[in-house]
Amino acid sequence: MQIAPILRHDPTWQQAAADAHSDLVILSDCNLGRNLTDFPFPNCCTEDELLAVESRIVRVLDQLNLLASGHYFKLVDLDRSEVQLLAERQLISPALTSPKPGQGVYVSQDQSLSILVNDEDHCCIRVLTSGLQLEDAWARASLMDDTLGGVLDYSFSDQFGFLTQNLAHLGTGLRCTVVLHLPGCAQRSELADLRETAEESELSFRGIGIGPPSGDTERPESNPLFRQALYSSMDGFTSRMPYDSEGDLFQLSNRSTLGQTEEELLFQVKQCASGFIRREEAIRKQMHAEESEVLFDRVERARALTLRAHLVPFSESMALLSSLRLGVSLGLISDIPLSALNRSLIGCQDAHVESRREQKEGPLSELDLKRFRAALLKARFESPNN
Amino acid sequence: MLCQKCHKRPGTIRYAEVVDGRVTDQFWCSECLANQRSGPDGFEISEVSPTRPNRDSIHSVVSRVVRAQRACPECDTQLQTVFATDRVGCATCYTTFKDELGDLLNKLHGRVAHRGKAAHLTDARTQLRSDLRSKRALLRSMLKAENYEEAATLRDEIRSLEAGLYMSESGAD
Repeated sequence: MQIAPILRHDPTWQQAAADAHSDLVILSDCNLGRNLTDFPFPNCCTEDELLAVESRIVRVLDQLNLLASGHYFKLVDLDRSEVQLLAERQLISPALTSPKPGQGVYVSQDQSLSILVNDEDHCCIRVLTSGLQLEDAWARASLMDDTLGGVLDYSFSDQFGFLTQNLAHLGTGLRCTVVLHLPGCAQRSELADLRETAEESELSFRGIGIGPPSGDTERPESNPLFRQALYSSMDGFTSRMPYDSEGDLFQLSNRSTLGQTEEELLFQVKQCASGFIRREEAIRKQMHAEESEVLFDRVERARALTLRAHLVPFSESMALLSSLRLGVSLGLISDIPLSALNRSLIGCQDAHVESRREQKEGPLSELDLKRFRAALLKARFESPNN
Repeated sequence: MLCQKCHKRPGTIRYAEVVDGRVTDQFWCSECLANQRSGPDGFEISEVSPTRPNRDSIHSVVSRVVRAQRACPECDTQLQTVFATDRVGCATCYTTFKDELGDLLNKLHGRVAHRGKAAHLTDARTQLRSDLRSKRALLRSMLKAENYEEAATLRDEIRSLEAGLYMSESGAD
């Protein structure tokens, strides 16, 4: 397996940062889309042009010595399960289901930085951080942007800013996203209200679900990547209405990229996320005061199931992890670190479950996946600090 | 952007209407759209998506508005494709369709002018790029005029300029 060096290590964002609301915010990420001046945008590039773009970007990564501290993968050289693993780790867009020659991804050693080549744009810099650390993600993405921009010539106009294939990404090319865990707001039916609040600030608030959005019935058959996994992307491609989420996970991101500075966009998303966090904390406090026994039962039930269940479907694993996370956040559980919950969130997805088995003879059946997932949860939460 | 009908709630749905051959294109909130459907002057609106503009309706509106099928000289992307997909084919599309893009960008972003980081090119590289652009344009017209001898010379010059540009990039680290 070519991506074995990546799989040996957990992404650093899984180590929940202290003082960053890591119990409520799973991760923050910044995506920066850039294109090279000498080529049409990827949708209009010939295969030769895509390969030429890839070769220039890889050459620059090499010159900057980035290949020594990371890996570049040509997506056509990877098998489907490897591409799915990268998507499950949020390193590539789930749209890259049938990769074309010239498409690839650079992944840094700590998996907090990826540079996607020839997806929607020639080059998409993505930085992932744990908790609500959007400024850190932006600082790192901007630094990488400056470094690459010092060598590569980006397509830029004074009026429109950084030129992108998708008009919705024009200008700064920046999409910043925070993934929030809001079980309290979900239980108290506050989601429609949160969505309205987000829209007033020109932000997008959506649920993160399994596979394709509701109503998209064609994709699962045509696209084996849409198996049981949590995906998010710059467009919220696989996310859906807030009430249609798994594990009470939601994605908040900026909708507009033109006419506001990067700092203003970050501020808007962070400000709105902080408001949601305060609201969730107030609800949790109220729930803890009014229905503490019900909460305690929910958390202990989830804990017992992770240790005793023999078959666990993906959807149920997300619900169990949500209850455990709530328990950790409220202090009802003290021996499970948030990092173990973050690791399980990634580890319970299909490709990750499959990658753990010793002998690989074809894809696992649905039943096998449930059994393996149950075993994974049991192993992880019997001794959660390992 | 606020709803352009009630001016109170956020306008999240693009609403296009053709009256007497003239197109009005606005952003409405879901409540105003529902009222339009159920009101006395309401009518059937086909498949309006709350998150994405209806491709078919945009397509038909653009077909009416743009009688000539304008295309980008660089990548051949047509204006109607840009309106239907919200995507352009190359940087030149932005200059070719500059006038038409204003409204669309205003609806997508609520603004039309960039603020924020800027790309910086060195003077030498800017000059090289400018030379390259003019020579490529000249090459296209020579090929159109079937002046292959001149075109071959221009192609050699372009290759040499490209080599110089890439060398300047390699030396930049």
